[in-house]
Amino acid sequence: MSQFLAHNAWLVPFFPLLGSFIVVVAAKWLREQSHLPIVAGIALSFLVSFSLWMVAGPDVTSPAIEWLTISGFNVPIQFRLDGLTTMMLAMVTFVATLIAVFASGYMAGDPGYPRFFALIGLFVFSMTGLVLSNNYVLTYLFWEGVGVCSYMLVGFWHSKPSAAAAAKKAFLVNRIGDFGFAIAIFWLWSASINHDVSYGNVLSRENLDQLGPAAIMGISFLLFWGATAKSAQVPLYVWLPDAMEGPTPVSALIHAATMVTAGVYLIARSTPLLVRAHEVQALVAVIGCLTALLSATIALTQTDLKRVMAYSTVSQLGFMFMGLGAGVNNVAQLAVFAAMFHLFTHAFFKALLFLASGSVMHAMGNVIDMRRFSGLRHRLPITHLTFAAGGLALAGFPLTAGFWSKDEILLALKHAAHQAEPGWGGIYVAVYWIAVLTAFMTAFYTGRAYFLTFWGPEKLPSPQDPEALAEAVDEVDHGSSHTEHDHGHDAGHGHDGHHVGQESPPIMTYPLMILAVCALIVGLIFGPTGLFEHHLHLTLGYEHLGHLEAHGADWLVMLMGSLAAILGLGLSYLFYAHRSPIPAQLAERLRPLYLASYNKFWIDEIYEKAVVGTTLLLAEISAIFDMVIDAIVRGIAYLPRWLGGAGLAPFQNGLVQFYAGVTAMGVAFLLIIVLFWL
Amino acid sequence: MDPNVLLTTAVKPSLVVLLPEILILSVAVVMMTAGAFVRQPRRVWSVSAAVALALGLLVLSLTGKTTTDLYTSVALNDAFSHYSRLVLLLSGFILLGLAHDQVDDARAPEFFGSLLMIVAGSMLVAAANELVFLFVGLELVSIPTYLLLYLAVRNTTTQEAATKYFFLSIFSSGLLLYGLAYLYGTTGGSNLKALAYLAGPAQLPNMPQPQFGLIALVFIMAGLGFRVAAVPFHFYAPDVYEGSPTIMAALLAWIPKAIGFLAITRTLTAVISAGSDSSLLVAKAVVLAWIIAAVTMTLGNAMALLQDNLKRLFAYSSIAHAGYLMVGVAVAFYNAPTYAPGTTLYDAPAAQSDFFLGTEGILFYLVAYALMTLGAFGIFIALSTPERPVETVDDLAGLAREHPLTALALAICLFSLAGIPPLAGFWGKFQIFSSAFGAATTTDAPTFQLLAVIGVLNSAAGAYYYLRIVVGMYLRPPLSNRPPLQPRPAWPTRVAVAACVLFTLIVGFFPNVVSAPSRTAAESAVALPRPLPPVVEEASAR
Repeated sequence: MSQFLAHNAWLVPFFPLLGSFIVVVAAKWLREQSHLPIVAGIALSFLVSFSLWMVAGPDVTSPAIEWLTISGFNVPIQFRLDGLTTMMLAMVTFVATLIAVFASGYMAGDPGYPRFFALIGLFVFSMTGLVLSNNYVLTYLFWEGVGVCSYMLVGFWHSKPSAAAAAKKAFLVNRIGDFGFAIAIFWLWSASINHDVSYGNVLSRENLDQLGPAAIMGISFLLFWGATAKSAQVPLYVWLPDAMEGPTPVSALIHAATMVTAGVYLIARSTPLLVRAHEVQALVAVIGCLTALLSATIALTQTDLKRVMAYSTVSQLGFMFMGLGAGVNNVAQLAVFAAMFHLFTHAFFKALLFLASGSVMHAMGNVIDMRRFSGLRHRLPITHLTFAAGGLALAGFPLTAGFWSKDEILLALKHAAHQAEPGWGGIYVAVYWIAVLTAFMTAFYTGRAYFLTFWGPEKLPSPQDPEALAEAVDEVDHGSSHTEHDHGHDAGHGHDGHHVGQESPPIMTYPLMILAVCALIVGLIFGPTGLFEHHLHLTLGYEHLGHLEAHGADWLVMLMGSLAAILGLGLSYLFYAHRSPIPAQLAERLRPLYLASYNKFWIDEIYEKAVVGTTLLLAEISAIFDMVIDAIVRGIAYLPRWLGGAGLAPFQNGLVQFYAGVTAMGVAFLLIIVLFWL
Repeated sequence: MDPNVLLTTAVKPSLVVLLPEILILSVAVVMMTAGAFVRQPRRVWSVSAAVALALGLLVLSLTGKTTTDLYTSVALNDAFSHYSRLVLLLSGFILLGLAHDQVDDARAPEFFGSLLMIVAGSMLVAAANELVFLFVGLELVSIPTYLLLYLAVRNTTTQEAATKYFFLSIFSSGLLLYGLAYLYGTTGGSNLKALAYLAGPAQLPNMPQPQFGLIALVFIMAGLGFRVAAVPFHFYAPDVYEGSPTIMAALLAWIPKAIGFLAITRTLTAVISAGSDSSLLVAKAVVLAWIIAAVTMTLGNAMALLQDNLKRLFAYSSIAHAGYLMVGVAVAFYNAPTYAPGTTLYDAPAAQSDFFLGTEGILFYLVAYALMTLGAFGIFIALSTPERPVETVDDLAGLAREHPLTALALAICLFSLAGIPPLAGFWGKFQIFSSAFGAATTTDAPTFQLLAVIGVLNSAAGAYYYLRIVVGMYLRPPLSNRPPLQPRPAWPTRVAVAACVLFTLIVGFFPNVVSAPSRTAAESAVALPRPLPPVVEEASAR
């Protein structure tokens, strides 16, 4: 039975691909039903994934299909079905199913309806392929595949300039990371036994033992470099907030629950390699910590609900990397479990929060600026409750999903501080305390977003809002794109019979409710029961990771986490539930800090000047160089023509006796060379 | 040796192995004889040719398991022979599809009969394990070619082309025979596997003068170099391609090149590389192939840059591709299975992983070359009509506007010829150049790496003239002074072209489809199993 299932693992990526294919071929006839093949495809692949969960084992692989076998370079198509993969598969397909259902309501009426679902199907195909692949090259291929899908979905409303720019930015920033990943693969290929880059070989003990310290460190670093772009870490996180230009279900699926966790997955997959480079691990923890803190600070002041969620995603990904970075010595197993558990729970509650935001946006006629609406809890009861559930989980309120996983990460960090190599413990102590602070900030901005949206006096957006007017002026300034913008964004999903300020239709609220239940209980089911840990233990190479003798619940850590969550939420209640004047006064008092946070620390502007400006300058200089090079190249290009025209053409004179003569002389010449000369 | 044993181990299985060729040849003979007495429309003759090929294919697949004794049989059915014959037979279908309406009713029986003979002859070369038999196969290709060159269209240009080809071809056959005679005279054997065995494990005990081996090497290379259009035996190619109908240019660009390289593998690389690395013969053979490869690539590409006539351009392009394939030959001369010290027998080639890379590259490249070249020529045939022939690069200008699908198909073939990934031609070049790059690790390494670098530079230069056609098709307007193209290809032509283009793509995306059988074939080409005891007696008795 398990053999049978393992052999049919290809069905998981196949169903969504088939759905996509059907949509592409039959778009004309399906039109408003285009979601059906995709929803069915993803749901089927969830069923298969679920059954694969049962057969998972460290060394369960599907049979290898020879694909590229050229001169010592061997890349088979083969799937690995260990704990990590099956966990990711089940999570991805489950969340994707719900999001696809939600999107069928959210996207209704959009002219690009079939295109949207075809791309979603393609994305799920690539994402499941990414986690199924049994070698780095195949992972890389799917890694690019999800990148392309993300590019096309961020720029889904491509007539809108900001969406097109965001898509381009996402793609280019990701290329920087892909570069690191590609070099890591080249290095792995040249350094590994038999030039075999399959996980089974690369992560085997014999192979890791024979890799030199430089290779271990270099490859780990390059893999992490690749992960920072995909998973939006400092310094390459800048694309993710902009990627919110895409439709909200895309933000929920790709930029919160699944694709952005690919980097975390890659590092978790390579943990047996990474634990041998404790310097890189410290770097991972520090970068994760920095990212978490920075983006949480930015999220404190944002007024765009989706942007708050975007920065929160970046921040939570930072938490996962902190967890991965904590895997020193005996903490290795605990750390990777913690990080992956946070990835797992985060997928549920962050997808929920995005979808709920989407539901708000849907009800508010595509307004997402929190200054333009408030007090929606009576108008949108289901959205309100589900958002609250997601918010509690994100804040890490005791017993919700986020609480358990964040607690594990804090625990891992605390152990890491004790177990680290001499001299490195201090780093983990700092990271631990910053993580607690960030957890507090997380709770605060989550509460702020919740109270601003759902509490206070009831207010619906109107075109007379100062923010709306400012935006309109902005649009006119940006040229003639205004009408197209309306078409792309607002008329995008028209409101056939749906009025502003009403709860979303059931097809959207049911996925919300299911996810809300998950966000509340998934941590309790999988965390303290050891279910998750037990399953992840079935991952390739994890059994050899260092592990603590016994780690029970650490009450102090739990208390710290709970305290941070409750204090953060409480403070936000005080500030925002009844519109206290304190935040405004604070902002006035701490104006520079406030401005820095509100303007996202001007990181985008700095990058614009420093990186884009430098690149353009370089391009200018290269253009001058190019003229010189061009002249040389032209000269070289002329050489063969001259050789052919002046040197060789006369020999081709059409006389058969001449040909025979030259041939005979050629034979004589070759004979002389071979016999006497060389 | 007991004649009865010989009958059961060599003669009978050889006949079984050769059944496909015998079948195709007999149909060809019947067609050519009957053509003199009965008048039938062209369709009858082309269909019977297709049936003959289909029967041949059936029999070939049925006899796939039959094996013959390596050291006594004239024909082999090892992986090399089986795979090459399959490829040649399938390419016969493509040629037939392209040729089916290129001749009038009166000459159809001779035309298709000759075509069948050429296919059968080329298959004989792939199977041959005997110097004389190999020569018979080669001539069975050459002689009907003379006929074909003059059959389809009879005017002074084709007459000139046919005459040139005839004279130069018999000249080259003379060179080849001279070389074969030297080989036989030096070793006293004509069985190719036995020769390889003598060169390798037996260390050529009765080779007093290695110079004779070198003379044989140069002359055989010269004779076969003519078939593959390698410099300096290439002169006929541009003139003959230009002067003959397009279908003949297509045939000349593929069949002689394929059998030339198959014969080089059988008679030269497999035999000579069996000697040790340090042997004089191996070193000199590498030098010879190195020079021919470098000069052929460079000259072919340089001359192709100057051409405007499509057939001349493809003639030089085919010369350039012969040069790339020669790189594989140089590697194949050098890379051979080594023998464990003290043993003279060689059973399993699995101990080493790279000894077959050059030959594998050649076999892969030949398939890719067949697909893209026949595809391109097929498109020229499909586009040409008597009132508006497609002769020059300018004739294709603006093709993409009127016939986007045809332009795309031609672009795929041209990109593949230029070696742009991920198409069949790219993997061919990749295999050959990477095999050259990794051929040697000792002091010989720079020699091969330099050759690989020359090859890569050449394919960069070569991309220019292929892409020039693509640019013309997509970016230039159609020429105003010529009537628009109104192609009306029949379905066999369409199918043949579509098959070429489709397989160029398939092999590009799944190179393993071709590279895996190429590898087994290459391994079998150099395999020298333990000879049966009586054969050893005989070999030492000589």
